[in-house]
Amino acid sequence: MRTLALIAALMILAGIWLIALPYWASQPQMRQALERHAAAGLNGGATYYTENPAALSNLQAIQRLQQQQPHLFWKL
Amino acid sequence: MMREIANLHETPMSDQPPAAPVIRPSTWSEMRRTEDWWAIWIGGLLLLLILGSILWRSSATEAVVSSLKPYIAKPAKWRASPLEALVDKKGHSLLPGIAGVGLLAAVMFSLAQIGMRRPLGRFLRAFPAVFGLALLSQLLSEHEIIKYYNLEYPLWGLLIGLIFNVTVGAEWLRPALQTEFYIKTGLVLLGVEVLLPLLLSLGIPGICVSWVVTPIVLITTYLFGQKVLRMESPSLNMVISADMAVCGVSAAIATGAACRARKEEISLAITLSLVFTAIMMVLQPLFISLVGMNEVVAGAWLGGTIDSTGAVGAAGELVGPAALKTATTVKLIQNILIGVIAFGVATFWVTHVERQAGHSRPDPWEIWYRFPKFVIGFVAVSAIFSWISATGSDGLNLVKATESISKELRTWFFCLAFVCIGLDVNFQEVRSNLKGGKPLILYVCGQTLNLVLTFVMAWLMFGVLFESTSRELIQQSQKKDIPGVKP
Repeated sequence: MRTLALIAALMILAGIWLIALPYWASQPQMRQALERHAAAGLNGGATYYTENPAALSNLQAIQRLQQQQPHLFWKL
Repeated sequence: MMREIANLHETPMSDQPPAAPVIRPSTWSEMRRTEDWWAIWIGGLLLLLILGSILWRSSATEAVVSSLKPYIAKPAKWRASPLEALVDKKGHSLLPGIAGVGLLAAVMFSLAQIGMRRPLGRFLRAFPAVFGLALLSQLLSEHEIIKYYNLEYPLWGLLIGLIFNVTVGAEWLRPALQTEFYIKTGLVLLGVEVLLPLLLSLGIPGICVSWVVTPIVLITTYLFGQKVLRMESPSLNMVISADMAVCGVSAAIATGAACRARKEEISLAITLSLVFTAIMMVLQPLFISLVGMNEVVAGAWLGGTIDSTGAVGAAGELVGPAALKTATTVKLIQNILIGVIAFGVATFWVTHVERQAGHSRPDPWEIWYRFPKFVIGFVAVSAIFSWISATGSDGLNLVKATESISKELRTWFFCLAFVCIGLDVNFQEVRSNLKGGKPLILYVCGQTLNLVLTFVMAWLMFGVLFESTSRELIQQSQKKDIPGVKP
């Protein structure tokens, strides 16, 4: 009975991840949204800034701005 | 060698019989036998291995990369078939890297089992199955839509563990269910990414939004939980307060380990955080566009309030390029703050929370004995790598190369921990944590305070005092030549 329950749970997961999600991801609107995220270097699943390419490139952009104008974030 | 310490808290005039002396193992014995110290040894050994592989490789080539890179990997993002997750962007198989992590983790944790005098054979029989479940949960979390909606790997680790727990049971896996040990080791490795100089990335406005508001919200929410809601568990209160005020999953893991929260408490805090993150990442950008908020103020507000690091970027992107830039940088500063906060929480716990009522402040030896030692490892790694990163571009490249390997390993260790939580969950404990809906009330009240205070500070800083800086950021973000910013 317990093994059957495990098989049933795994079948549900397989149905969602192998059929439903790939189908959803192939829909034009979703595909566009995913590609927009990828182009911006966004990782929605990041738990820390080092996993998010956008955070690192934006930090570099801010650091460059600070090099050009050292007082930008320090003087009122 | 054992050291005896008399209980100094008892007053000599007390009517009570004198307490028996507390027998403590010596620090040397603790260093060889406890998880806290083994987390430091494993983390340190792995970092030395990584640094060695970088320096050895760099002496032969110009590039600062580790020769371990092909042997340390996790599944990649996938869309149509999970097989895509086993191949990197260049078409190379990730299987050697995944197997390499499994082997390295098995060797390192086996050494610890021997050191801690735990049965090695039973651990080695159970570990591959737990690692396999961690791999499955990472495959689930790497689907593009799952990532898009910020459903991070801890959730899938918990779910997979739970499914196996309630169906076939996890008794035979018990020797490898070492949740706290995996978390502590992962945290020591996380120290590489906690680079303290980045705390100053946004100057005064960044300090005010992240350094001032975040601790105020954390402390106020914790006090509210203790004094008003009268939460039964101070550690649950602290973990929820920290993951809401600081940065979601990573803050919950760090503070949870620092205050010795139970695993059910960490998973409850993370679940709450993920649910509210999903709501806030949709509603906040809508509200911002409805009221026509300044993009930089909006970015600082999003970065300071949305728990999850990934969701902050997604919400910022909906508002605009300047908002995205500010939001991710504010969140980055909050991410770095977890080093300071974990240390502060660990100190507060041993000096105040664990102190028995009526007893005076514990003496320094007592504090040392009770202090979670892996936090020292975490802070030391952070300090060393912060110093290396500040020495110049060579140092920074070395840190980046180390981080590219260590972050894969710590993700695996945290994932193993969440699978273990699912496999070992105590449903009675979960029910008692949910009693009276107090965790939910705490989260909602704390987040409301967070939303208000962060908005006021973001508006004061970027909308009033540094208004010209804000204009400059918007102008620069609209230029196509700023890398990383969507034109």
